[in-house]
This record gives sequence, structure tokens and C-alpha cells, in this order.
Amino acid sequence: MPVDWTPLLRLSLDVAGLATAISLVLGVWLAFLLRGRRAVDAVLWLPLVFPPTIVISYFLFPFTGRVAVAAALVYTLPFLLRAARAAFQGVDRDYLNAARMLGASDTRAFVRVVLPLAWRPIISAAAIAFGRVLAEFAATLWIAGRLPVSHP
Amino acid sequence: MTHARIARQIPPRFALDVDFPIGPGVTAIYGPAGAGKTLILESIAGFIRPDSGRILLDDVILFDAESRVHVPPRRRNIGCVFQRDSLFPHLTLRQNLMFAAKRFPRLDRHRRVAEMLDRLHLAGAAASRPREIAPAERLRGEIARALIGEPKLLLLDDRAIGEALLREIRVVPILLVTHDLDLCCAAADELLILDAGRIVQRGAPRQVLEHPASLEAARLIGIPNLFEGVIAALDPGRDSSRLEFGQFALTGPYLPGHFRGDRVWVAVRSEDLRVHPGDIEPQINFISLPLVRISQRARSARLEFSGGVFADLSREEFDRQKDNKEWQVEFPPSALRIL
Repeated sequence: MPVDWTPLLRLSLDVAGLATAISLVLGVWLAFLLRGRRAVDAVLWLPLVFPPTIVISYFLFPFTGRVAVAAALVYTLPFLLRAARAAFQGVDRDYLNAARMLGASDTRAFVRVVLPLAWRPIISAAAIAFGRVLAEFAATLWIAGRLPVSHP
Repeated sequence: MTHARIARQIPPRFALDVDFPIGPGVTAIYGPAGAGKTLILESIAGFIRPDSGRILLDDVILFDAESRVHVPPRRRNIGCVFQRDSLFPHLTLRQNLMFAAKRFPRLDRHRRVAEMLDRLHLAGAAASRPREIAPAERLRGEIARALIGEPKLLLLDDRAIGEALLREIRVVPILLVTHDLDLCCAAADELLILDAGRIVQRGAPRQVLEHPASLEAARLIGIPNLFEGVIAALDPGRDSSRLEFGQFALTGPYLPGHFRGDRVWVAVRSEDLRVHPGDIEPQINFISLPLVRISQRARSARLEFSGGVFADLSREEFDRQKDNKEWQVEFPPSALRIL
């Protein structure tokens, strides 16, 4: 029996793309807001240690793509937030200090100096996040799958 | 008035405690690694908060521990050139300058950037990224960027800045960290010798180098001949004194404020010593010493004699005497500096 995989693939791509895009913007922004706060790091690990199936089951009730995105965000957002924080910390402090000495506000220093110097690792982290959500079989299966599934 | 009084503890051992004015010209800070030079600049720039003290720039309080004033770095109006290159690598030189000229209106900004590039001979490199420019030009670029906001003070942290460039930009008061005493003499108005967080000596560069005030200062400015001795005789009438050291005795000028029997340290700069062949008639302060080692320098030869006596000879003087079998070292009385 031939199976038409197209809708499933579409759904996967949509969910992964949307989740990555949202977490990229949100992650970079949050990383800027939370700069210099070390306590945040520990909290960010938390979502990453839950098994995906458990997390997704919290979002089970209305079975829509939007919920799948929300479920995916639980993973991608902390992942990108961490990556962005690490990337920003990797920028030599001298550049930030130079910007401050030249009269730039924190926001201007961030947008004009720190972000352009740190975007490479952030983009590669986004690619990894995208790949991970795409390969995250469980989420798509719950929502669009017709295969019999069981979960604890 | 521009004045800095800064105290800061850095556990476990280091404590910075300095108090000095910054005049309108060039103020140079000289000292060994770890003396706290960069810490002073960082405090004035506002990156670190001293534990106590007060920093005034043109009578504006930038920092005051008692009233808890701490103006953020971006409002201090100080230009800063760090120890390492910090031109933004993703922007061209012109864009770097434009970034710094933000507070001027748009048209004015372009004019100022163009003028500054011209002034520091950078017009040719304006469209290049920092990594495409030679290090010397990058330094000029950084200085241009620091100056474009018309700062009231320029901080220069130990960069290989030439005398000509320093003279060119000295319209702004400059606080310069350096390892180059020649540069201090040539272009600085005031020299601070810093060691372990304290100012050892302060004054006009020539004055400090001619008359080190303490053993520490003499050591730090690189005087190799330092001897501890006893005053054996003092004669104000003949303006002379007799100083006895372990292996030899010297005649010096009269030492006001000292007594016979006092222990004193004597410093003699290596270039003030003269050497003579061993077979000529000894005169005042001629000491026969065996030669230990000769080390060649760019413009001189340094002779090390036993007992830790170092003499720097000009090349031609050295060529004249290099075949001596025996040596006599002359300590001219006027060259003796009592610490």
C-alpha cells in the first residue's frame, strides 16, 4: 500500500522551521536581557533533560500544529538561548568596553558590535535545533500519525 | 582640575593605592608587570569600581566612594586605547569612526570623520577592515576613533606608540602606560613610577631619572649599579665625603643631612661610569676590577665587572679599549646618587 508522506513531511518542516525561527529571535533577545546573570545557566538545562515523549504529552489535548510548535519550543528555546549566551560571552570584552567608551548605550553596543561578531555560532546552533526538531519523531507522530501509539 | 585618588584591594595580596593629578600634557605611568597600571586606567575609564577614593575630570566628579557616585563609562567622555587591538573587526575604519561620532548631527559627522582620518594620515585605509591594515595604522585608527568624540582625557594602555604620533595628539591630556623610558623623556611631562600598587616616585621624567628618590625607584628605572655602604668621612669645607663599600671606597660630594657612620645606598648609572686601561696612573675614584663579561648592545657595549659593577661604553670608546688586559673603573664623584 503506497503511503503519501508529503503532508507529514510538510508538517515536520513547518513545525521545525517555525520553532527554530521563534526561538532564534526570542533566544537572542533573552540572552541579551539576561546577560551577566550566571544563575540562569542552571535553569536552562532543565527542559533538555526531560524525554521528548513526556514533554509532548503535556501538550496533547488540542491536537494542532500550533501545539506541536509549542512542544518543540520547549527544546529549541533553551538550546538557542544557551548558544547565544555562550556566543556573546565569547566576544572579546575589549570590543564591548570600547563601544561603551565611545558613548554607545548597551543596546546599541549589542546590536552594532556584539551581535555581528557573535552571529556565526548562533546560526549553527539554530541549524542543529532545526535538525533536532525535524528528527524528533514523537511530536509529529502524536499529532499527524495514524500509527497505533502507546505512551506511559 | 583632573585628579585621581584610587584605592582597591584585590585579594589575596594586591592593593592599589594611588593619588595623583593629571596635568594638561602627557602623564606617563611606568612600572613592572603587575604593578597595577592597567587597573588605574580601568578605574578612570569606569570599568571597575574602586573601593575608595575619588576621580575628578575637569572638576566633574566621575567617581566618589563616599557619596556613591559612579558615572557609567559611556558618559565619562574619556577616550581609551586598550592594550590589545579593539577596532571593531566587522566594520571598516571609516565605519569604526562613524560609530564613535554618533552624537554629532549627521552632516557634521561625515566632516569630522574625514578630518580625523586626514589628520592621522589614514585616508587611504578608510575603506579597509582592521585586519587588512598594518598594525601601526590600526593603532592610529584606534587613536582616531578615541579622539573623534572630543574626549577630555585619552588613556593609552601600553601600546607601541611612537614619539611623533604622541606629539601629534597631545592637544588632549593623555595618561599613558608605557615601558619605554626614552619615550617618557622625549614626550611626557610627568612620570609616575608605580610598583606593587603604589607610586614610588613622581615628577618630571628627567628629574626622576637623574635623581631616583629610593632604592626601589632606582631599581625600577634600571640603574644596575646599586651599592650599600657606610659614610666614613664628611667634609663640608672641601665639599667631599668618603663612602666605604665592601670591596672598595669612593670619594663623593658632601652629603647634607647625613652623619658619619650612616648606612646609605648609592646608585650610579651605568653610562656615567668610565673605564680606563689598568696601566695608567690611578686618579680619584679609580678602582681596579676584573672584567667578568662583555655584552654587546645596539648602540653600546655593556661591561660587567666583578662585584656587580656595570659600565656602558659607546661603540667607539669600546673599540678603543677592547684589548685592555687590566681594567680600572672610574666613578666620577658627581655621578654618585645617594638614595
